[in-house]
Amino acid sequence: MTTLPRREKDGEPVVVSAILLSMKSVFDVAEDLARAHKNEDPETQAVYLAESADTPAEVRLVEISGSLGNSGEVLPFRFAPRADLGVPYASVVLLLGLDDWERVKRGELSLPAGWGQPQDLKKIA
Amino acid sequence: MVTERDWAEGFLAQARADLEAAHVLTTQNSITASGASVFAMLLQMAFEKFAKAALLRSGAIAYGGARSSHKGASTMVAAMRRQKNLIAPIGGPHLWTAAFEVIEALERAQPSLAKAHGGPQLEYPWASVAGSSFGQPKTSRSQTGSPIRTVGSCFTCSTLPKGSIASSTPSSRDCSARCHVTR
Repeated sequence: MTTLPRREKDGEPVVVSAILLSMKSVFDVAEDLARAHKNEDPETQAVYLAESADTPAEVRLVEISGSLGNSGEVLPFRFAPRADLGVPYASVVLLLGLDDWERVKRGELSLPAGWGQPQDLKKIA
Repeated sequence: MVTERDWAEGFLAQARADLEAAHVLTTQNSITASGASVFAMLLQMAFEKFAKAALLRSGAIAYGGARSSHKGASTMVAAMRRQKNLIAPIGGPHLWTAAFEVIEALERAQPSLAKAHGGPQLEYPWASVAGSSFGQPKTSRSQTGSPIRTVGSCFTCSTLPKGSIASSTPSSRDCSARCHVTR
């Protein structure tokens, strides 16, 4: 049984929920999201996680899909964390068409600042 | 110094203004043939600015990128489709699916994107890719040949490409070729 820490100041139990203590890692949440996103878009060919030391509490996904057009634009959309919905971290979704992904790999398009290089991405789905 | 957050708030404010203007058209019984094309244009502009506001607010792009981007709205929609669990608090897929479809259709009709396929456009007159035919938003007909018209308490917006639909009634399943907006 987990013993919750207590607040020294007034002796009241600290309101640290069991949710926090058992919170999934960024990697686990990323895998959950990648699975759900692939179900939503069966043409998804790959999902990568961009890990960041600067913002460790953020799930950054790069998703490549044949269903997406190739715009030559890199537009990551950020979603606020919703622990109550199973996503306790902010999540950022960068969607790329197949040609745009090739352009990223060739260095003709850049990933967002702080996301590293394409070869640094971790394939999770 | 103007920050990206300032720009984001500016885009958001202007998106709301576009949406209010579109709403005025519906409340003033102005959805005539030409009014419908203007209504569609205002919606497209609103969604594009909403998307750019979101991108600017998160720091994903800078002002220059926002000005030059034309795919923000459809990319936002694609991300929202995938994150359907996270849009549950604002209505979820049941409410948003119809809106997603019309947002995507409106963006395809945005002039800078539509010129590539020569199809119907918002805002400007256009010519087919071959240059053999000419069209303009206010007289555009749907691919089924139906002109823009008012129908009872709804209007049918056929300036949009086939496959577009917007509905304030999520139960609507008529998503094939028209855009219904309840007045």
